[in-house]
Amino acid sequence: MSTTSALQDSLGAEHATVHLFAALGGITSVADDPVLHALLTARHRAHRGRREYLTSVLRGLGVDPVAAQSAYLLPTDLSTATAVRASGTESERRCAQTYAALVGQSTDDVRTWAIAALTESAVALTQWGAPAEPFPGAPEL
Amino acid sequence: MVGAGAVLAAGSTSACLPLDGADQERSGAADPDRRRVEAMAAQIEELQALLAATALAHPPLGTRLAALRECHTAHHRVLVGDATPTPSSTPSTVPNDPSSADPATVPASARAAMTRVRTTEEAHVSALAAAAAMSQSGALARLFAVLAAGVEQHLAVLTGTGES
Repeated sequence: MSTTSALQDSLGAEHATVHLFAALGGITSVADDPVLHALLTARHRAHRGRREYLTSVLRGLGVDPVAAQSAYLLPTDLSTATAVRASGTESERRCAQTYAALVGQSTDDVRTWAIAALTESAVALTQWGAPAEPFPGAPEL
Repeated sequence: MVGAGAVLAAGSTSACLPLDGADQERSGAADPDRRRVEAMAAQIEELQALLAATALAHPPLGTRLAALRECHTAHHRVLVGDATPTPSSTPSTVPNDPSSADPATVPASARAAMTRVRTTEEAHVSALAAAAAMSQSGALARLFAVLAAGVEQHLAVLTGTGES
């Protein structure tokens, strides 16, 4: 894996996450579950920011950033807060794994940024309801 | 398990190869990545002693700190292999290495003791992140970053900024 492919992997994960969280926000009621709605709003904003950063870095390298897909397969059951949280957890975990990989494939500012993104996603995982784990982003450990 | 030893031993990804004495004599002084591994392992040992002492001085805190102690034990194992003080298999307030746990050094107030733990742990996260940023090996950088994220995640749960 190269720096570019690690960046593209992270960007691909962010495209999917931004899409998913927008969809989840559309079915989560601020009146019924204000905490979950606030979490979705905050995480959607955070992932959009990451997507913009990754796009900018790739363009700076003279590479065409991977485009978002025209559609993403959403989970079939999003009828409960538990299901929404599980979906958010899965997406956040996928991003954390790509950022861990990016740390290993980058240097300098991009690596520093990826370290921070990994840590932020790890904390967000607990906000989605996942238990703390020793090695977030590294399932092989 | 892919440990730091395996990473340092030419990027093997199949097994954890602990840093043994011969390895350290061979290349320790000249290898910045190896020094980083040793420094982080030593820092974890100090943290374990602090957490053990805190648990002894304030038993109710011991339960809250159990997951963090297990996290550190797992981190130490991946850094240096199994040549570590034997951890308890279940969370408890008993320190892993009672000889290094001195409750007399722990603040008398539980709140102050937790503040000290949090401050020390945050410094450890910063040190791990710095080690990740500076590592020559990408695989080791990834490992350090994952460890930093793991501790930060536990701190978030411990201080209530996680779990909404």
